[in-house]
Amino acid sequence: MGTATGSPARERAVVATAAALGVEVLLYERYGAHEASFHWFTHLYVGGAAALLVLSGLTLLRRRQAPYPAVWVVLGHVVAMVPDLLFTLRDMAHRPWMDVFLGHLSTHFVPGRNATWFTVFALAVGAYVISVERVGGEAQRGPA
Amino acid sequence: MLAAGAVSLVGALNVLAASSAGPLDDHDPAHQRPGFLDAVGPRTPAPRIADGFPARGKVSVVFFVRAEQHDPLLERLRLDQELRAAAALAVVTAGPCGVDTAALPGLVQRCDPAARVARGYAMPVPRDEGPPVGYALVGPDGDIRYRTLDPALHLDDVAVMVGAV
Repeated sequence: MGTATGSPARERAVVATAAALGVEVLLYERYGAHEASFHWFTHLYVGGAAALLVLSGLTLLRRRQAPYPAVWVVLGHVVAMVPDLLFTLRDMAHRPWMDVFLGHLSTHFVPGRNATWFTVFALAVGAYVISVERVGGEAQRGPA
Repeated sequence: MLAAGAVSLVGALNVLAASSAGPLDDHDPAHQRPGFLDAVGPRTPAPRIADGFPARGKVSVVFFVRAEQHDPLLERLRLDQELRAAAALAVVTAGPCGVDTAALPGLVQRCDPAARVARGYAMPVPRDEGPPVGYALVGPDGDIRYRTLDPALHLDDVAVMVGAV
C-alpha cells in the first residue's frame, strides 16, 4: 500500500509493514489460544476501517499520502481491542462504557456479524487507495 | 493490487477460521463468551437446582457438561480454590450419570437426562443440537446474569465474570 519515493523511505515502509504484520500474527495467535479468533477479526475490521478512513481524510486534506498505513491499521486494531487486554491482563470484565473503544461490545452484534465488518473494511481499503491515487495523480499533473 | 490481495487474504482467513467452529460451539459466535453481564437481555430468576442452590447472598456458577467433561471439570475445580471460595458451584451433567457427592465438598451435582435444567436456564443450544457445555452465572439476588457455551470451560473467564457480578 506504500508509495515511498526514495530508497531509505521504501526500506522504512517495508520494515514498518513487516512489523505491523508481525504484530497482527502475534495478536491472532493470542486470540486463537483463547479460542476467540472471531473477536480478532471483528476488531481488526472495525479498527482497521476506522484507521484507514482517517488516513484517507488526512491524505486528501494534506495532498500527500499519509505513511505506514499498515501501522495505522494495527493501531486502530489495538484501540478496538483494549477491553480484551483489560479482561486478560487486569481481570476486568467488559462493561457497556467500553464501547468507547470503537464499539468493542456492540460491533459484535451487527446483522451479518463479521461479514458486514469485512465489507466495511474492504470499502475503507478502497477509499484509502482511491485517496492515494487521487493525490498521486494531482502531483503528477503538477500545479494548475 | 497489493491492497486487494491483503483484503482477500484476510477474508479467506476469516472464512477458514469460521469453518473450524466445533460441534459444541454456539451457532452465533457473538453470543459465545461475550465477556459482559446481562448480554442476553432482561434478567430472569434462576431455577432452583438443589436445596440452597443457587445460593442467596453469593454468586453461583452452574456448569453444564456432558458425561465426558464431568470428571476433568471436577478435577480442575478441585485445584481451583479461589473460584470455589468466590462462588457457590454446581455441575449439571447431561444424560444419565452417577453423582459422587464426596467428590468435592460443597459442590452441588445434578444429573439432567432430559436437559430440563439446561432449558430452565435458557442455555444456548450448540451446533450439534445436543445438550450445552458451558456455564451460567447467578447473582446474589438469584437472577441469571450471564450464560454462555464454552466447550473448553475457561475457568479464568469464569473467575473474571464472577468478580464482575
